[in-house]
Amino acid sequence: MFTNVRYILLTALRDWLFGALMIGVIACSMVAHLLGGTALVETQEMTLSYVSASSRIVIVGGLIIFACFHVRNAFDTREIDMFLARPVTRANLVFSYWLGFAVVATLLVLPTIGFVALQGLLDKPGFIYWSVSLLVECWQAVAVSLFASFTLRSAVTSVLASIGFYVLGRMMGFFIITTKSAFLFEQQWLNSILTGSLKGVSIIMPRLDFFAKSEWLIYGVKNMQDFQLGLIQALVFIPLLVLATIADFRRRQF
Amino acid sequence: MQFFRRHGLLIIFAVLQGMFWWSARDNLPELGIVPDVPGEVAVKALSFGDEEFYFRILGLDIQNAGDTFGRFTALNKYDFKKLHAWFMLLDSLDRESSYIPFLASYYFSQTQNVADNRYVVDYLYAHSADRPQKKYWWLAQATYIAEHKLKDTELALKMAKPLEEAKDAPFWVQQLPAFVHERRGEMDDALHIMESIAKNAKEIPAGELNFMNYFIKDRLKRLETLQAPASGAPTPQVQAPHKE
Repeated sequence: MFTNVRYILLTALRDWLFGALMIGVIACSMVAHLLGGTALVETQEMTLSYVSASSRIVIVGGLIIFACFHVRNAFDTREIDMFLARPVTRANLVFSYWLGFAVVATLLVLPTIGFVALQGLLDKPGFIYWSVSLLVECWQAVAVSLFASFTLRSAVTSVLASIGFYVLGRMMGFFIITTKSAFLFEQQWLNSILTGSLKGVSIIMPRLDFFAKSEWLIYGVKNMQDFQLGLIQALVFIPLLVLATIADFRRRQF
Repeated sequence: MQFFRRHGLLIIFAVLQGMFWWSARDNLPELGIVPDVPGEVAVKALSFGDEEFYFRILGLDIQNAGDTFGRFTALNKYDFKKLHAWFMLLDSLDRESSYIPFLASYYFSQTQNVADNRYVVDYLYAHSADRPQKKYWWLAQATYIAEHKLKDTELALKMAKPLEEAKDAPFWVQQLPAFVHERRGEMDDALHIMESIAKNAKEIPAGELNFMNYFIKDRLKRLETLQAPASGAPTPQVQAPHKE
């Protein structure tokens, strides 16, 4: 298992993942400083908000692309066959992939947290919660891309599906609010169908809007429930996705 | 000849592209001043779960509206009705920040079209009236704009009224409604507010106490001259409250 984790780390180094994403994060910080500095007031709040959100997008995007292409490449070059030829179960292999990507995510998140801290902290507990939340969100993004790349046949499709899943997850809070409103359309039956389907989608989609809110860095965590629900969400959803990937992988013929 | 046969199509399309540029070079994108206001639901959706980030992006957009691409637009050309809608919309994303009240009261209130300040004042009131303890500064700004720019003392009084409830705010803040009453010639209301502050405050610095005493004595005198001949009633004295 740990051989695969090491192998993923080596490929991340080989593909310049850490360097490229750190350059992305630094570029985001610089642009954030530039933009934040133009604000008439609350410049630090502006900068913090821009740095945190843009770094999150860069890291999650980078991780999704890396994980999807790595796994699809492993299928195409028959590396997976080679792994399976060794005394390792399919469940172990999938889990080792998730673990490897999660380690890569952790190694990317740690310096990012440092960059955000360098901008100057306004609320230390809020910063700690934000950091933990970002890490857990990245682990979830990795689980999503792992599931997509194991179940779909193309790397590009996997990336697109993962990004779509991530964006939808981030908008889930909004969709749930929408289901509470009965005034979307004039026809009540149309409202019922729409709210019913949205509710259906919200059952299988994670609530990613609970994670890494930049307001925590500025005002602190006002509603602790958001943070706790985020952690519970991750505790449920990461194993769910990993197990779904294992279930799909077990049925696959080589 | 062979060159044209090989690259003829390429040259034709390059020339066509040149012609297109020539005909379209004066068709510039329309740059508005205040952008159209999206719906609250749309903004919530587009924030992708990070409302603070989207608030900061849109806030900067509003700060720079009309002054992009090398333009500088006079504030009287801004549509303040739209700006007011933007302010309210941005408040729905972050009500704690002082960024939008700051823009409204220090920047947009400088408009040459003084009547537009009514929108600024309305926004500052909506932002702060229900929490004067925390947002008294913006209510004070709203009072100032209403009284000195709009010259509308009734509006100024409406802005200042919630400040009576700002019990832990500086004394000048609590006294502001009294000053507005005084400007309106309502000396008895002004006196009542001052007496109430003096009675209810836990600790009053000596300077403040002296000022309030002076205010009460002075305005009582004016009240007496304005009203009927003196009744002979003694001037009330404000006393320092007992420290517990």
